[in-house]
Amino acid sequence: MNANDVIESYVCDVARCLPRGKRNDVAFELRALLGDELAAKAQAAGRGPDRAMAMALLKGFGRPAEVAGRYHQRPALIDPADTHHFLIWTLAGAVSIAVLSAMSPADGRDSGDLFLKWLGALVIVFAIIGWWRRRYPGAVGWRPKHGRERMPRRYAVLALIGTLVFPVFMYAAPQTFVRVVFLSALPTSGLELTQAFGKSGLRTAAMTILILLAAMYAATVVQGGERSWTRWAGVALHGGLGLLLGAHGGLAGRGLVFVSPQANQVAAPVFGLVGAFVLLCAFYDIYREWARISPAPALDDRRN
Amino acid sequence: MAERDNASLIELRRGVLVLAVLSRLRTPQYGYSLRQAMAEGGMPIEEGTLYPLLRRLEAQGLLASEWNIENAPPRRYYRLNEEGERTLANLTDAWHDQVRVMDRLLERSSQ
Repeated sequence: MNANDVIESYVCDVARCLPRGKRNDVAFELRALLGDELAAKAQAAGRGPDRAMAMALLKGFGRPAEVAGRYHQRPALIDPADTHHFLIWTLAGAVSIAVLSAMSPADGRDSGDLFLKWLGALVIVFAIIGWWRRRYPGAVGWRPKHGRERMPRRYAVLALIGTLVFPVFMYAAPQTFVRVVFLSALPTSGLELTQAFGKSGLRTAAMTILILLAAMYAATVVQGGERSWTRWAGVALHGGLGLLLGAHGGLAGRGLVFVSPQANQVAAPVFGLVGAFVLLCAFYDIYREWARISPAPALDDRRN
Repeated sequence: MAERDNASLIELRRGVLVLAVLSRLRTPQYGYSLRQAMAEGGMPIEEGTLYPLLRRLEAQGLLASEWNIENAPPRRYYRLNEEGERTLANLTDAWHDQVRVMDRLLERSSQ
């Protein structure tokens, strides 16, 4: 392969990375320019152009794809500014799939396949977002979402009421809960707990955690907002509750939670999924604490 | 330290590259001759940067080009068109303003 062959090969590789309409024109010009450069190099060296000389010239010119990018810049599939969020969503998907697989392994889910699908979906979504921004610049501007406080008092009041009504009441007395909520329209006999489960340490522990969660929201209401200790207490309580619900799923799978076998059959995957969801919430809270931004007090605070 | 200074210098030169190239294209030039002219004028530019830049300036409507195939090898000659002349004049004014501003800033910083 002589110097001309090397240049010809390079020019073809550059042209292949360009849109079809530009290829011949750029290739023709690039070949002429590289020929000029090579002739100048050969003249400076006092000998004819050779392969090594051509390779040195092209090395300085850059990879064919890079050179083609300078002639015709294509938009990035994922906007570089979105890389951070893409990685966060990728990691969140990986953790969610791992937790789901660990909490409900019996349904034969292929985690690797699921993760690849998740990754593919993310690439498509981010590519569409990038395309949309380029197509309609400024169409979706930034808007302020919320202040520094994630759970102000009014949200804490709602969380306290919700926790007392839903998980605490439902867990403490499932039959009464269904009777009250559905105004005795649904049969409750299937929700009768086995004696062993009713007196088990697992149930006591779950009940304790649910009550502590309600107490944590009550403390948030009293304090007028979250504090560091309530946030970390929330992480610990949600993590513990998620694991306990996973254990409930295992027990229900063996028919040991409800007296009715059908109820156990229905409840087992539900316990697993709800446990996985609660555990993921705990992981999300840990992430938020890790990524928490604590700048200097705002100007308003300093004036007070 | 030297590497960081070098990167800053490249960044600084990148900002004036278009103006420098336009200033040399009042007379028709082909890629290699323009690169030589720039180097002789004290602003050497890598070939991989200059040649695509000529195409981009042409696509922006600032340059006109034509192939000369009468003499071997065939070469594409670029020159300023009317819009390019206007842009060059505007950029030249902006450059002089910028130099005045920078001189003032640098003078104050050295006091």
